[in-house]
Amino acid sequence: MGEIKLIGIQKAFGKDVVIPDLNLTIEDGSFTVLVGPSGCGKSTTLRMVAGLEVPTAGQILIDNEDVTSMPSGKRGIAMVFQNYAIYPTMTVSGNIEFGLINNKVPKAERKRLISEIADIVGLTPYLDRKPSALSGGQRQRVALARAMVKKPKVFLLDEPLSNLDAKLRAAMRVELKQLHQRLGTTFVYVTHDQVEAMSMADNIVLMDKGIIQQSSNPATIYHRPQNIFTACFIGTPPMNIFENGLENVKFGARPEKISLEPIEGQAFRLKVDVSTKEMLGAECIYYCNSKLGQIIIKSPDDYPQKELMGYIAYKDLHFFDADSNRIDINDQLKADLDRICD
Amino acid sequence: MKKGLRFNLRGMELIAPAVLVMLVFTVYPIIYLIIGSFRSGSLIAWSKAGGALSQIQWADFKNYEYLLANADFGKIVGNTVLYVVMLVAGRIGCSLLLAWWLNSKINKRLSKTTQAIAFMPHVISLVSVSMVFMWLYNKDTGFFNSILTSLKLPACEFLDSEGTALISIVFVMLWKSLGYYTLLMLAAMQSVPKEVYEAAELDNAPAWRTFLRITIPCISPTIFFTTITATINSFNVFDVINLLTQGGPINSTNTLVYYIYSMMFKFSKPGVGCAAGVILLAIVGTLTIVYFRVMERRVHYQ
Amino acid sequence: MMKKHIGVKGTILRIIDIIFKLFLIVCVAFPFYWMIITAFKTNQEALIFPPTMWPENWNFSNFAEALKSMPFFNMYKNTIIVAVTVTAAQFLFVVPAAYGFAKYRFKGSGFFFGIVLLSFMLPQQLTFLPIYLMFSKAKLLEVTLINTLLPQILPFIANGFGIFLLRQYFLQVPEEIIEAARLDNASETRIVLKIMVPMAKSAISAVAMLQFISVWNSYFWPLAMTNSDAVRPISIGVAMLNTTEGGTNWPVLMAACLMMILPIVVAYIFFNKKIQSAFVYKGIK
Repeated sequence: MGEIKLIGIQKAFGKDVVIPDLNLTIEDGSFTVLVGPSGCGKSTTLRMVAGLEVPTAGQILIDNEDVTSMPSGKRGIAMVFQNYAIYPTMTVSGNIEFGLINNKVPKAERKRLISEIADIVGLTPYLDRKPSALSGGQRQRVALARAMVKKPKVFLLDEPLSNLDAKLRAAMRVELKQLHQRLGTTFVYVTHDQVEAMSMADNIVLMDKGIIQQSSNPATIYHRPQNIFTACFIGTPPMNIFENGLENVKFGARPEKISLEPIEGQAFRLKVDVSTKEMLGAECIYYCNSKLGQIIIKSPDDYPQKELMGYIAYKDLHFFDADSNRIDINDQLKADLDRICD
Repeated sequence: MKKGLRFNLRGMELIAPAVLVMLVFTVYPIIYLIIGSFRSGSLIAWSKAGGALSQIQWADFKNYEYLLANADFGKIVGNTVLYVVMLVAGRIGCSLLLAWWLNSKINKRLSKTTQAIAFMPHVISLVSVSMVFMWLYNKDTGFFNSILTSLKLPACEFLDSEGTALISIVFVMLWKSLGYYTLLMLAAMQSVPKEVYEAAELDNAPAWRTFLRITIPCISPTIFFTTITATINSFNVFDVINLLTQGGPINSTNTLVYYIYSMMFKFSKPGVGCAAGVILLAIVGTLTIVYFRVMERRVHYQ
Repeated sequence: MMKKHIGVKGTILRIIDIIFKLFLIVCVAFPFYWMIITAFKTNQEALIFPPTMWPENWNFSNFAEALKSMPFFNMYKNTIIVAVTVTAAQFLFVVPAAYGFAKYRFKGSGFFFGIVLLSFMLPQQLTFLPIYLMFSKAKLLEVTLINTLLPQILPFIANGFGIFLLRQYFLQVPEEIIEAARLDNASETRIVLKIMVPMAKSAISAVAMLQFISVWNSYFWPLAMTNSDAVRPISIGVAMLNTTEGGTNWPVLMAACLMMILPIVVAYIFFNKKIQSAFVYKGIK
């Protein structure tokens, strides 16, 4: 129904090649999140799927149909913009109706659809208002309603929550996820916030400099990052990476996986000196120094000592080769680790 | 705010020089105009009289009566209204379409060049522009008629014929100002966030519908204010008429401002000129007030 | 490289678009072209009907003749003096006034600002008569003012439009910056000169450009305010070349027009972006 394939996509703005060669399949019905730092090409990719940008080379298929040269309005997709982009001079009802009029939906049918969708998003009392008389959250619902009423094959969302305050954002995250479950349509969601990505996605596509760093579900991205970029991007605070401990191999551990109490089984031990401690209530974050360099540790308990011993289970260690790609743990590495253990 | 007497004085000090100049060159002439509209006498008499025309005879409303009774004046007002309507409609209508066309995504660089070239007539002296058009309009040897005759169409008398003179002048003024008005409209269109246009694209909107239901409503404040300034500006037409037709043929291009000038200088009827001037003042003044009332209301509303 | 994604339909649209834009450019530029080629024709050639599109015999004497037929250099000099003086004088009058209207509330500020607005909305034809009579009578150092360039300069030094635009701009300068300066014990003059003016550089230069061009091109006011060629600017001179007795010498007239507009055209070719943005400058609504 709403499967998207990007084949050999290249995008250049003048001489600036932002996306060199992108290949991606977005499964029908999935909630796929494109995430990455500013300038990584996620918005550009989304806009190419929408048809608002034209790829310099390559093909875009929606449902196995080549839409690369098809105008946006004919692709059967809907988009929610970061700034909502609702029509400022039309009422809420007019905003929702506009796309329907263009698609030649008869008047009676339009009225029905509008009241139906207004009911779903909770905008019924506001149908005659103009955008300037609406709050940020209400405007966002208008943007959503406008997108939903078209019953598109694909929903594109470009950082739709970034203009909302934190509380509203958290509530909307849940609502959007529920919406996805109810509609079953393909959702492609762009954000720079990895927490949003982790909490909402069926599949995360992490991008950097126009290249996909990893494309997998949240659990896999968290537990088995394929490269250092991914390892450090996902997770707050970011993973600690030790570059000089082992020869030709970098290894790392997440702050929350470093225990300050002895643990069962094989563990890597490291003496640390606490330089700063942040008390956050539910947990503490320790900024420390060690023989391997600086290290951040997250623990639910508050330790007053300045010198502590960190314990990391071997299964919680991640190893990367000289090209920063993932290596799985093997006996040789275990032996090397034992040697530098404290 | 803690504005005390010191502040008040300082503010007045700052504006004093400019206001002084304006009192002499704007306020005084207006008062003179109004007083003068109630006086009779010739230009020479006026020039001999003092600054307040105190020596000149009162004429009560005779000047106004003269205007209202004068068929010529009626024609002049008619010409003026016709001229203003045609020019403003042309300016706003054409500039909107042109701006929308130049705002499209295709051939952007060519659009920029087109805009730059279209704007140039605005900064060129109206004197030179008038001269060229006079030459182009020349009924015997002008370029326009050579085009018409080569297309086997009848030659037109342009500035020399009662029926076509006014519209010929409208065309000159339109040519000169189109680039400017297009630029204003274009700037307004570009201030609409591009995502709104993109949303319309995604809503499968045909170009004309985007133009009518999104672009125009979004820039309607600009359209409103520009229409008013274009209207006020259209009333002030003098140079081109003085250079090309001197109000003729047969008064067909005699508009209010030109009439005022000719009454004052040429026909030595300054009182009547002033009366007509007061009428023009009333019209322009009303438009100005409307403009600023609406502007204040909008700013307040936001 | 992009074309394969636009398709045949798109390419045709692009070509049609190019044709129409070129057509528009030709329509707008044509009068200029006509002015130029006429200026190089002989008078006989100019009168041929249908007219030639390109001079058969290039005639350079029209320019010399234009220079001869009126006190050209003197008039050009007058134009330059008036334009430069007015633009320069406006700094002294317009900037403080705009600042005063923007940042101060005082009795009658509304009323005075209304006068400012009125000053540029009114046609010059309504105000010229008493000013003309005034200048005809006033004397300075034994010289009647109507015989000087002053009548063309004085009325414009407090340009209402400039005050209006600049005031809009100043209104948007955040109050905090001024308060910080006051805390730094700066005098008002210092604030205006060292803070407001540099910040408003673009607005001020925009207004100055508009004014200069408008004064350079002015026709009616010098017409009404001058009695002798000695003080007339070039715009009047060019207009005077258009005589109806004996038929107008079009090439000479066109040559004169070209010489008059040349500085502005040159300035426009180099600074067209800046000039265009000056005209759109509304003090940023």
